[in-house]
Amino acid sequence: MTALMTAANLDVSLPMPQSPLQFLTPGRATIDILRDISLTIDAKTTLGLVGESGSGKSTLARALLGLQPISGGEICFDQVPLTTPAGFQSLRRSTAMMFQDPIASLSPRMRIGKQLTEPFVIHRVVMPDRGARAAQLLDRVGLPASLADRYPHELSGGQARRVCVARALALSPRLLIADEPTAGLDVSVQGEILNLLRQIRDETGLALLIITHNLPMVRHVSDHVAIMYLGRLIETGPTRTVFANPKHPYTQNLIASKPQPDPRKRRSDLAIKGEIPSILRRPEGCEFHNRCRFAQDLCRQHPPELREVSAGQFARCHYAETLTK
Amino acid sequence: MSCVDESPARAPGLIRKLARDPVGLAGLILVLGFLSMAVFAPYLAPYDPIKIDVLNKFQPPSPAHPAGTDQLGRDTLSRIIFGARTALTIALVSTGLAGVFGLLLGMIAGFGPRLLDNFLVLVFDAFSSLPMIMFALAVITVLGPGTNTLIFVILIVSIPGYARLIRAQTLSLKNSDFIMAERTMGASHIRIILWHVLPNVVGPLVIVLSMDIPVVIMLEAGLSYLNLGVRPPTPSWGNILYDGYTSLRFAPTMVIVAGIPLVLSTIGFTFLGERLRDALDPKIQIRGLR
Amino acid sequence: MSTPLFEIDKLSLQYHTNGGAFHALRDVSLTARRGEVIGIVGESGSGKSTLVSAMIGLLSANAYITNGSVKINDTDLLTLSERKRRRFRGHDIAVIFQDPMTAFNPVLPLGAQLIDFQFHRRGVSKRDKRQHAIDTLTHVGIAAADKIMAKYVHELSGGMRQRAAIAAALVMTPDVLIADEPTTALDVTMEAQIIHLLRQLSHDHDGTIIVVTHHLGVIGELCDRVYVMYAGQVVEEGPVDAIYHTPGHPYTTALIDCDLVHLDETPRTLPTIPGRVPDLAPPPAGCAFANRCEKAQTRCFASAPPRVQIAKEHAAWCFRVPGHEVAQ
Repeated sequence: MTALMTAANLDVSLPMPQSPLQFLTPGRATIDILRDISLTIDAKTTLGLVGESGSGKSTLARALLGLQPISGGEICFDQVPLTTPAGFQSLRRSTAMMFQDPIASLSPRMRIGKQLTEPFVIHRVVMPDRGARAAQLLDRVGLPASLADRYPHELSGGQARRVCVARALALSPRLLIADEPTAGLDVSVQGEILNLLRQIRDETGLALLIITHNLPMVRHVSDHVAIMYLGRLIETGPTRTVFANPKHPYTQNLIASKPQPDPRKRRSDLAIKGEIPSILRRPEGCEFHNRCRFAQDLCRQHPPELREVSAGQFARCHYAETLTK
Repeated sequence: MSCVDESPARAPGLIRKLARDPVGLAGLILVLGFLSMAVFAPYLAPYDPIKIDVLNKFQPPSPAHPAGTDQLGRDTLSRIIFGARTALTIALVSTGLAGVFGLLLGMIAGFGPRLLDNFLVLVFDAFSSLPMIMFALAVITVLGPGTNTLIFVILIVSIPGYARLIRAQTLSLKNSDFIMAERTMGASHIRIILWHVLPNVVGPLVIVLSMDIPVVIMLEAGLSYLNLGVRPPTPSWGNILYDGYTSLRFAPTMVIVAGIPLVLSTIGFTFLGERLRDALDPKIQIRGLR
Repeated sequence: MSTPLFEIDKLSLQYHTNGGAFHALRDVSLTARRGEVIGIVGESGSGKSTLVSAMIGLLSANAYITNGSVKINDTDLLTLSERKRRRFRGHDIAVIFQDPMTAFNPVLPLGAQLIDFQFHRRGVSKRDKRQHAIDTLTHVGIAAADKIMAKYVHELSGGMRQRAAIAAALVMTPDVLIADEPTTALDVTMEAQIIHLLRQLSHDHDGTIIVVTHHLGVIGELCDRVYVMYAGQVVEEGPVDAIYHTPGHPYTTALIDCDLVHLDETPRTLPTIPGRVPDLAPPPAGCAFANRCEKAQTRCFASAPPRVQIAKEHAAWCFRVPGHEVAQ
């Protein structure tokens, strides 16, 4: 397995929102959005990035593509470090991103056919017949060629989703980042998109980074998972291992929190209390300690490191080995 | 496949949508009427608008002069028809130019670096703090009255407003998903601005422009009435109104005849602008669908 | 068996559009008794949102009810004048909306609104109303409720907002509490907490709770009886256990299969329901699900399937309910 993209000790911090008179107070405070993120995306595999809103997962995706300036660490693609905007610009042909809201991520006053072939025009790829190429792309995602004349607002959510898949895959990228690829879709159709993504991954060997808060989906589509909490990775590992034996209490809570459609599995207790604290008031020590049932004094004082707890599985918890569900 | 033909019906064309509604239709007819009056003025006007015929001054309406003649015996109808040319030329040229400049400056401010944005906003604010009429009078005093001065004044006064509108639109588009998507595809700034920002900010601007045209027509008429606008003998609805006012006792029809096109053109452009706004607003379209 | 507190009988509703009459609801019947938690589950286009609007009598201008009744304690809401109906809303029926941000007025403090919502409690002093609002907030798990009363919605965190929205519905002590997608906007851990709260409320709430959602997990965790909706019709009704473990309608079966939560092993292809919801202007002659159904026969396309009683309180509208096949 070769690493396609790696991030090492990535930090992202933004200037603190301040009063209009901020220029009077030099030395601006910053908030850490992402802290010390290290992860690897292997070629031909799917990595699921899981986190609740405010965990920084979308910021991480933007940082990986150079859309969000980083304040520390290093991002490498094909073992080559990317440091300058020009470096990221060279990445554009081999990476693609799908956004959460498919209709909003299509240019509202441009016909679908033209949007689909945008990547070719941008990268000056010779395209003898633009219309034929659009039809071919539409066909690949199971849409009729007649959609090429439509505008985005004339599409249904499912159609727009497929158009976005087609556009993302137009130049056969090697890495596709998909932010909530099934958001807003009915359960009966979300499988179609996931099947399509998997089929294309198997055909073309691209690497997928799927960002979501939908745990059951991650469980069935990804090879590896990375779980984020308040801008930090708190557990990573092979999907099977993590789901079978989650080591971090937050992961355990997430898995246990998922509502069960089977009334016979109804829970009587509550796995987790409280809410994710605001990123402006990051807790001392372990970020999760104020919601953790197992928190000790050590957790309140010293932030734990991300360490290997079983083969390939990493957790950021002082007591990962000794905790039981 | 689940999503082959489930899309909503195609929206009807803009013109048809306007024509379907009585107010929109009225606006459309009036505006088209005044436009063709301006374009075909030499063919429509029965007389030369500046040809003086003192023998026939202050004629009441008659088959020969349907709107009568003025104090110099010029045919009022012909002067009204050519007046449309003056009014619309000034209105369209000045709002059009102001729109183009506003569009450019607004997009540069909205999409460009922060420092440039701050500077441009400062300039816009400085200019829009000028009181319009006072500024117009000052400029006319310096440059002298005339069509070009009028256009210049209107440009200076209206560009900041348009630029600020476009800037706000651009700023909200800048962080939208589809611009972000273009960036992930590697599109250049120029490409993003021309292909993706521009088409989305032109709509609101067109609406504001069409609503502003009657304001400019009124301004031109007002200044011409005060003899600060178009210089005689060029016919303008404003100076016809003035001539009518001075000779109200002998020829009361002149004031009325000169007032009618002003009222109708204002109504026409306002109606059209209002319905244009409704027709271009996607939210209202959706409400009509389901 | 007690008489139903809330009853919808054969409700049909059409939207008049440029493309003709859109049959958004067809013959929807539903009953809810005191103490029950009813689930209405359906995907987009199933008509569940229209049903919620009809239940509270807030329909859009182009909606026409062609048949049926919506009764609370034997009073038909649909025949009431708008003034009387307004008295019913709030007093007898209240809604927890999906987006708590829009459920409150952004420029008024929360407390003032919670007191305002009790407008129909005549002869109660403002102080008592205030106390009642604080009690309700405490009841939904908000600590330091008297401090929260002075805050504005945007000052609350997401979870607090959802709790406040539930409190807003509860201060009116309605008989019928409708929760419209109560957890859709929430994260997993918050969702679990809100479900937990709603379940607690259902124990000490004297009326009935109707949960409308597309999320089978919410249904499974909360409800006693379930109505499955598809294309504007109820296709199956029954106790939650029967619906999940012995579904009678092919759509219910397919919907449960598509939920990834219950899958232990990853299949080669994830389950989906091929095809799409039929156009309801006009609706198909036969079963609305026939075009996507694996078990469909010619008769399914030709005529509407009958209501087939499977067990006590469990029925499905299908010719081919397993073990209850309707003879050709």
